[in-house]
Amino acid sequence: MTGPAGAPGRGPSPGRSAPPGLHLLMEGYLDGDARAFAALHAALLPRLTAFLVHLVRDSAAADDLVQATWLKAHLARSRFQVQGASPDGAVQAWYFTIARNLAVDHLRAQVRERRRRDPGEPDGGERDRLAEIPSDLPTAEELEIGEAEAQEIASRVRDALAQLPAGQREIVELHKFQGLSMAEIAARLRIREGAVRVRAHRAYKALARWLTPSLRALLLLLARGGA
Amino acid sequence: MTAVDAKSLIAGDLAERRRERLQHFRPAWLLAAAIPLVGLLATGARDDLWAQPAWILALQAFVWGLALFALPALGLGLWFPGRAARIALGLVAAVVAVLVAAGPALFDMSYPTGMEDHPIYQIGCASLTLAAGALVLAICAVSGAFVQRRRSAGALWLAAAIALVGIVTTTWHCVITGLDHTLPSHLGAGVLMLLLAGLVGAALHRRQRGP
Repeated sequence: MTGPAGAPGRGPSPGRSAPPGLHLLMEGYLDGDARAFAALHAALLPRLTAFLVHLVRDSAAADDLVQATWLKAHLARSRFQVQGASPDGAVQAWYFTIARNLAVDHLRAQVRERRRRDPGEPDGGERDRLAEIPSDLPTAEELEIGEAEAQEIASRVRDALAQLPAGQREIVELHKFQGLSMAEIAARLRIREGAVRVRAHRAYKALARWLTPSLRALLLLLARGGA
Repeated sequence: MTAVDAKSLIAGDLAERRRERLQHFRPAWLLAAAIPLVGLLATGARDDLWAQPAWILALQAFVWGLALFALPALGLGLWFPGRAARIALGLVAAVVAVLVAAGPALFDMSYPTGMEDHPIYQIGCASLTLAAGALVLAICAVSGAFVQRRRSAGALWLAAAIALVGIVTTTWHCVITGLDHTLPSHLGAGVLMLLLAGLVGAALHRRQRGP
């Protein structure tokens, strides 16, 4: 697929010039201007959608990933800094980096899920797609996105966590704060992975009552994507 | 396919943050608005307050509106006019500050001065301008008002509001209208307050949010 940007066959790429004025919209959004955010959303949505559809080759999954990209970027927005010579390009790179990381997590989760279900089956092309993912974007570490997102989630979730039963709280802490997968948590706690997933599901459902709608939606999307 | 609409969720989140910000700053705003009122009650309003020309009374009312509503809303990130509107607002604020501080004597040198000027009155008016501004500045600093905007330029809107509060409080107190008195002790002190508040605001912004 060739998206509206980038070289043929590579799909939409953040390497193309960003729409002018993006950084002004971003500045307004970071100050809390809802109109600036709406304009930023309108300017970047088609590019992000095309980029993610190209990466995961599944429009439904790409739609989920687009929503998760906006929500993750929203949670980490306090860390956004203009880097490089082009302020507009920095805004675009910020969103595309988050989108790329989500796509990588999604494809890796698909590989793991396929292996778990059918150990003998070849993968469905996810490895090829992973290899095609562009590497000309800054890493999440360079943009400090992962750290900011984790801090924001941690600060909001910590208060709610205190109200969970100990067994559920332990799983959420291992999953969200220590970054363990469900399988790793199951191995550490010496219980079945299914039991871990059930407890995690109950915990996130309970947490949802105390969290903001945007964070709730992000957790739902991440749980759905297996990230 | 997805039932999640990130755009509306984020818009809702931003609206919620705005409500929280409004709620957080309401007590500070009430206190800041009470300072000129208390100052005028304590020192007394000028005898000819209502005898001033209608246009200068209208301008003074406009400056109160700028100082207590428009500029703080901009500085606190509660109102986001476009770039052209912000530039126009900044220019208008500067022009009306000069007009209100100088008063009708700017256009009519024979305008009654009410009282003969004296250095002690100049010191008194400059002190009132600086004191009213300093109290509002302290409230802004304590409440975290200077760090609400991402850029330190946001602090300048609050500094302008603080300077205008000082100028218009003194204008409503002082009956002396000669330019020899009003330009240094009303407008001059207001400009000094603007610089002081701007520096304090920028320093607080830098300390709490980084360069």
